Amino acid sequence: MNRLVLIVVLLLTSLSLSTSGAVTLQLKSGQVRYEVQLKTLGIGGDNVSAVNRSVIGKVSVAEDGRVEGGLVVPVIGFDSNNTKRDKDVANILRYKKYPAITFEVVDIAKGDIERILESDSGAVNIRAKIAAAGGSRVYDLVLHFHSAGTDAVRFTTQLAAKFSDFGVDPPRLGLFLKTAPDRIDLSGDLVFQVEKETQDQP
Amino acid sequence: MKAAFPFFMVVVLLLAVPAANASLRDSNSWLSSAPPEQPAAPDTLHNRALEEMLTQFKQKPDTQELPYESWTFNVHRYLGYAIVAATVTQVILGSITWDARKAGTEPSTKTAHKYIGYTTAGLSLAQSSLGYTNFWKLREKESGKTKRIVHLGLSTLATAGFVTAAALAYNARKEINDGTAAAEGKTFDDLYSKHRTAGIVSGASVLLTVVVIEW
Repeated sequence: MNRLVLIVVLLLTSLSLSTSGAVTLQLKSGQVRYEVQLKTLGIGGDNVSAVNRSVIGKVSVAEDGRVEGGLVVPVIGFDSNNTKRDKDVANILRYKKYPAITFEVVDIAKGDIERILESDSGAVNIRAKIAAAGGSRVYDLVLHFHSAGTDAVRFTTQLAAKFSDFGVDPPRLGLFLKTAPDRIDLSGDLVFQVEKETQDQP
Repeated sequence: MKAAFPFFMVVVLLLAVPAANASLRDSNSWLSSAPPEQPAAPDTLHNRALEEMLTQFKQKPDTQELPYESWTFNVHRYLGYAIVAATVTQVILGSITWDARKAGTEPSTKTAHKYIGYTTAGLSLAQSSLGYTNFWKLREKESGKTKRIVHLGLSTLATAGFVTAAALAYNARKEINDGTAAAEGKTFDDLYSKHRTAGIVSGASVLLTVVVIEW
C-alpha cells in the first residue's frame, strides 16, 4: 500500500515537473514611425515624419520556437502634425481597402528567442514580412532588445523600405513640384510584456 | 570528314540546349514583375494569431475611417459655416432691431431676428453634439490637441450664449406680453441688455472658434 502511494506521488510529481512553457509577448506601448524625404523640383530635402501610436501587437512563441502573431498598424493612425498630409498618406496606402499594415516575424532562430527572453540586451537577426496597401515583402532586420523592467522587453529596429515594395508609387505633390524618392524609412520602438504560459503535458 | 559531322552536331546540341535554357530562364525572370532580389514571401496563412488580430481590428469602425472623412466631420464643418453666416446675419439684424427699439420705432427686422435666432440656437446645439463626437474620435491624436480643446471651449461658450440669448429674449417678450414688464416699470434696456450681451459673446465666440480651428 505504501509502495502504491509512493508510486502515485512520484507519478504526480513527475507530471507537474514536466510542464512546458509557451511565451506570449503582449504589446504594452510604443510607436512606429516613417520618414520620407520630399524634394522640391528634385532639389533639396524636406524631411517628413509621422508617428503611429495606435499599434496593436501580440506575438506567441511556441515551445518549438514557432512564432505567431505580429503587429497590426492602423494606416489612419499616422500623425505627422499635418492633417491633410496624413489623409494623403492614408489614401496613397489605399486605407479603405487595406486599413492596416501588418508586420510578422517569419524567421527567427530558436536560440535568439531564448537570448531575447534571458538577456538584458542585445540584437538578433530576423526575417519579417511587412504587408501594406495590398503588397508585401520580406525584410532582413536587426532587432535590438533591452530589458524594460519586470518581464518586459523593449524592441527597436529600423529599415529602409521602398514604396514600390508594396506596389505603391512614391508621393508627388503640388502639381509634381514636390516629389519623394522611392524610399521610406521605417522604425519601431515597442515595449512588450512577456507572459509565460505553462501547459500540462499529458 | 563525313563521319565527323554527326559527332560535331551532337556536341553543338549538347552545348546549345543548356545555353538556350539558361537564356530563357533569365528572360523569364527579367519579364517577371517582381524585383529579382525579392525574397520569396513564405506562406504565412498559418499565422492564425495575426489573422485574429486583423479580424478584431476590422470590427472596430473607428479604425477603418479617417475621422476627417466621416459624416460627423463633414456635417460639422458645413454646419459651422452655416452658423457663422447666421451669426453675422443675427448681429446685423440685432443691431438694426436694437437701434429701432431705442429710437422708439417698430423694427421690420424683429420677426427675422427672432426666427433666425431660434434656428441658430437649435443648430448650435446640434453642432455641439457633433463636435463632442468628433473630439472623442480624435482623443488619441496628439497633434492639434490644444487647438481642439480651445475650439471645444469656445464653441461650448457660443452654444451656451445662443441658448441663453434665446431664453432671455423669450422671457423678455413674455414679460412684455403679460404686462409684468410694464407693471414693474422695466425699460427696454432692462429687458434686452442681457440678451444683447449674450448675443455678442456667443457671436464673438463663434467667429473665434472658427478662426482657431481653421488657422
